Amino acid sequence: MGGAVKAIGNVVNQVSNFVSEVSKVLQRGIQLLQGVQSGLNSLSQAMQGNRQDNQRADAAAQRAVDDREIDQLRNQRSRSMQRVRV
Amino acid sequence: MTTPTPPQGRSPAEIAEEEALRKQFTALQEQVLRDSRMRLSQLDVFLKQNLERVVYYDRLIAKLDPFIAEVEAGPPAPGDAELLEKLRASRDLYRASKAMVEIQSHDYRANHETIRAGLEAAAPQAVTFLDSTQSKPYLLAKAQVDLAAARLLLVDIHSPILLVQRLLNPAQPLPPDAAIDPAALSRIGAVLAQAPEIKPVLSLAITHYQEAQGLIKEAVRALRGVGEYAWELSHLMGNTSSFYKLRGKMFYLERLAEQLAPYPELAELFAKVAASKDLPFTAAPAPANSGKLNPPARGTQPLGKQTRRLNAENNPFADRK
Repeated sequence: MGGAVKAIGNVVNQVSNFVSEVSKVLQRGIQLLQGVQSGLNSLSQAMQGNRQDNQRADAAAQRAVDDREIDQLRNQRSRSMQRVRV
Repeated sequence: MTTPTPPQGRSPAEIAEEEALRKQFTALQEQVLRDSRMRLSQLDVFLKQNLERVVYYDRLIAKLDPFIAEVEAGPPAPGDAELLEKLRASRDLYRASKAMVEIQSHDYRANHETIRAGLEAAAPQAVTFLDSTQSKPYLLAKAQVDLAAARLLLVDIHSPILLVQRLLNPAQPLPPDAAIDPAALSRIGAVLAQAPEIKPVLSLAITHYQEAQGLIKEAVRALRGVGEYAWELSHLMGNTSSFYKLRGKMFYLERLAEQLAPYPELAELFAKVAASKDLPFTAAPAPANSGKLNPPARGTQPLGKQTRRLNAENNPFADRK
């Protein structure tokens, strides 16, 4: 009788342990997903920050010399050198 | 990503607890999948834009380098000093922007791969995303972008500043290569005669311009030091650095140019490079317009702190949050 009770007790413990393991697996999965989610959010913020940095560079590029202006400046300099020679 | 198989023979409390966990897991999994796909498509767009930027920068650098060499080789022409500074600052801006964008793209590609691998995995796994925005090379590139931007602004207002300097202080000697257009001098002189109240503002502008020149020299020295001493970078980005002050100073000068708008002759001179050029990869950003210059911001110091605190949203030189 005592042996049977002990055996049933063991089975109950095993089932309980198994259930606990399932919960642990789920909890571990949730933790991992939360980590991924947090990483994705940080990535979004970093990308937004990069975008601001690029906009800043674009704003500065408005003052920089571009394709059209290079040609204009080259022509202007050439004319101004001709005037000096004359 | 899969969930574990449910076990048999559990109590109602255990089933409820597990069910709650399972629901939480499923909801989170769906959200992560949704966000992962969204992030992937954003990364694709950003990578494509950055590639266009690099092509654009490469093309301009390839055109500017020989032009700079040509001017440097001579024979000299009038206005070469200003022209060279404009060309060099433009080239430096493109180089720094390219370096910045390439670091971003490297991270984007790595993060794209991380997300893709995560989506293909059968179960959730730990991930690490790359973010080099606080790395030394990125901060250095960003600082060089700011420095080139400041140099470009100074080149643009160089002639108007000389002209105003000549009008306000006729006795003060100008740099030997200074070329002032007599017709412009006459026109602006007439404007100043009619609006003497602008004289203190212009006088302050000259002071800020000269201080900005000094700060640029300091910033150049600091950037050179970065290569040798890592601690210089934190100093460079710190609250007391010349760079920090320079950003505020540049913001002030830009706003000053806007302030001169009621005086068309001067406004034309100060803002002669209005945002009229459309870059190929993006719509031109709206020029910074932060409204009227508040009297407290007219003080000489600490301009950087004031502009950052009062106008952090609109200050293109402010550090991002």
